[in-house]
Amino acid sequence: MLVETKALTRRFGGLVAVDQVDFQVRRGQTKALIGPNGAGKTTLLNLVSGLLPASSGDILIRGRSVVSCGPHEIAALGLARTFQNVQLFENMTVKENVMVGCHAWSKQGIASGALRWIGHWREEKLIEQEAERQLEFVGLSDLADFPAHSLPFGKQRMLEIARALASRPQVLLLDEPASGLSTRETSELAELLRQISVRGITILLVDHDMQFVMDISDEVVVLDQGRKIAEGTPAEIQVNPRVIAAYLGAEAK
Amino acid sequence: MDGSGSKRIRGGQAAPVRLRNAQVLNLLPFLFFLVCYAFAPRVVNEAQLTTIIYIGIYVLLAVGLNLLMGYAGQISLGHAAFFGIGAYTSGILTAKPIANEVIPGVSVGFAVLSAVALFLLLTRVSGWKLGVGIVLLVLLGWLHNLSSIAPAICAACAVVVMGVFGLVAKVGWSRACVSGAVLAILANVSKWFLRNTLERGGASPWTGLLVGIFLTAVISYLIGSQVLRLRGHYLAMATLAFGVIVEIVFRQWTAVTGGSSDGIFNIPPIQFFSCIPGFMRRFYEMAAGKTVDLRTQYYYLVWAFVFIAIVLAVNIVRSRVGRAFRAVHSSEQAAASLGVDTARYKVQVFVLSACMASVAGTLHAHNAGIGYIHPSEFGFMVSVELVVMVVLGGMASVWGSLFGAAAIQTLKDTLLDLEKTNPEFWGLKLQGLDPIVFGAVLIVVMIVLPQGLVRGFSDGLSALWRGAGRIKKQQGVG
Ligand SMILES: Nc1ncnc2c1ncn2[C@@H]1O[C@H](COP(=O)(O)OP(=O)(O)OP(=O)(O)O)[C@@H](O)[C@H]1O
Ligand SMILES: [Mg+2]
Repeated sequence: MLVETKALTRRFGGLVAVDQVDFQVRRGQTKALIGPNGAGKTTLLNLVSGLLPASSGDILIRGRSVVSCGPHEIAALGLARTFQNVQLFENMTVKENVMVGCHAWSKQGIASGALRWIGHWREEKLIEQEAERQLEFVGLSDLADFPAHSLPFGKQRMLEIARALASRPQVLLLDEPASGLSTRETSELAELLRQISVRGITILLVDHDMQFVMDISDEVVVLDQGRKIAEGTPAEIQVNPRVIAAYLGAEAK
Repeated sequence: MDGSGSKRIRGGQAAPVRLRNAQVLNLLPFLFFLVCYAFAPRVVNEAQLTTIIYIGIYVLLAVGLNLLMGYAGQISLGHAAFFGIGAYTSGILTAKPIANEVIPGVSVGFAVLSAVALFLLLTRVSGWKLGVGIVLLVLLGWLHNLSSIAPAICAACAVVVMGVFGLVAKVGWSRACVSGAVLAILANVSKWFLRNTLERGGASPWTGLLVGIFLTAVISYLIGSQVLRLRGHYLAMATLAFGVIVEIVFRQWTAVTGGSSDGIFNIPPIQFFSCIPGFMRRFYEMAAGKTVDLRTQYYYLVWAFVFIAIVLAVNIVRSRVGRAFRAVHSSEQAAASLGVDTARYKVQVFVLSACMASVAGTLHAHNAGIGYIHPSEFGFMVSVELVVMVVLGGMASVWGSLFGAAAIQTLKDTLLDLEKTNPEFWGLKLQGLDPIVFGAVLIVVMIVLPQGLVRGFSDGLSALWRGAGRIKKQQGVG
């Protein structure tokens, strides 16, 4: 198992946002996490990536418990993510954003950077190559030297994915990558995710666009009010009565 | 949204070309700087040279603070404290060696601070473990202060006690042992060093510089590792409180700092020319076009430091760590999720900028022909002035800090000259104007030029330039 949670729980005051959730992500698969608004999907991703401490339960990455690890340590284990509300480094160029993505596997320190030791030049070249490669992969090469905030929204999402890929992750968490994209952009994204999957990167994604989700994922987990209510292949999930009830219930509200 | 996006894209096709040119152009400011540096003493008079020396000291401070504020986005309203620690350490060691009866206390205090910093650095503990560790180190330090026990026994005690604590608290016994050992070593070494300094009637300014940097690094690490967990206003308040406390120590610790009535005077200047090889000396003399007096030497020394600081700062900003600093500034969450240890980098940049302030402090203390320091030079208003310099020059602009510091220092001198004439309007005496004027400058800059002087002007220029280019292109097509 690449990622595994055991009875993972997170409370906000009285609210139990994630409630005793057990689920696994196998190496190489594309798994989707769906559920109505406020189901706790983002909270779950935040727990797994270490941005939020868990109230109880356990998280294992490659068999190692990471509940007490900081987000940077989890990133070093090969986990990268994007955010529901895109979080770019707005004061940097597109390319520099992706270069920060290379932080996890590069190691030159402040002295080496300040004094321009040989290691700095060597590593900087690798970082730049990696950044260019990822920008080309998501189709942003010709915008490399623009400030990140000047990109249109759809491209910002792509940039965020490129930045996460630059960290050479084993598993990529995507929080609503298709939200705010046009139909065409969504199908391009689906194609991109398929290519990422072919590269051997495991994907865990959250989204509300059912067609998109069912299209690209091998397995789906459904969350409702913090609890896992179903898990299975897209075909199974689509006909699962509990899932339908949860979504209908959410709509009725 | 789509429309504006595609427009941006079209405008950007020239960007890669512009970047390649920029890499060569990047060296131009440095060359220009060096030329001005070498020949300035030819064209300015004595008084102007003094002002330029002061400007250099403030540029050092502003460049350091800009790394912290402009790049890493962490505010400090107590930066003058580190300036003061550098100045006082060096001033005390060279001109007013610590009296014999205070030496044991001071050296143990210094050793305890360093040992706590090391303990924190090695074990990264917090909460009760940190508390107990500090208490133990303080007690062990106190043991060293008792003259009746042999130093070797004290040292053994320190190592054993810390080792046992490390085992019990599960923070790594070897690491705890090391901090105990360092406590013992530093307590004795600094006792010996201070006695030796007292006997010889003062240390060399270079020793002062290094000890100042070390002490500042220790203190800023201790403060930074705790305080930088706070954000925004809370961080501002905490650093402000720290700055005020340090100023009070300068004022009240009369036995060591001379207190607020006297300050420290007769601090010897740094004899720059006796420390550099002959050919450099001849080069400087040629550039200055005259025999180089003490003041001019000092000018060359200070601005050599400024040059080094700017080069280092520019290099850092354009490196892996510099990108991490900037990433922390705009989104700590995103930075952390990409593997940036945000807490560590925040402390790192805080210590770095404090150390640069400490160097500036030493240079300030040894200023040729002045050699005098007083607590009021390191108070809260100075910290505010530094922030104004950074904001005026432009956040996240190393060269901007140079202009910001120069502008504010010149403004301060002008105000001082104005006040000397005792101006009075309708019975209102205009005295102590700086706070008011600086406040006004800060407000106007934030509203009119939020990017600061340099960025503001260069943006304006490049907008004009681009405008001209577009017109030319249109004419060419037409
Ligand atoms: N920091 C927080 N403090 C308090 N409550 C929170 C916090 N973050 C999330 N919540 C609450 O936890 C619940 C789950 O939120 P979460 O953002 O995980 O939902 P989601 O499934 O991602 O929803 P959406 O589809 O709208 O993104 C919500 O009721 C939300 O209000
Ligand atoms: Mg969400």
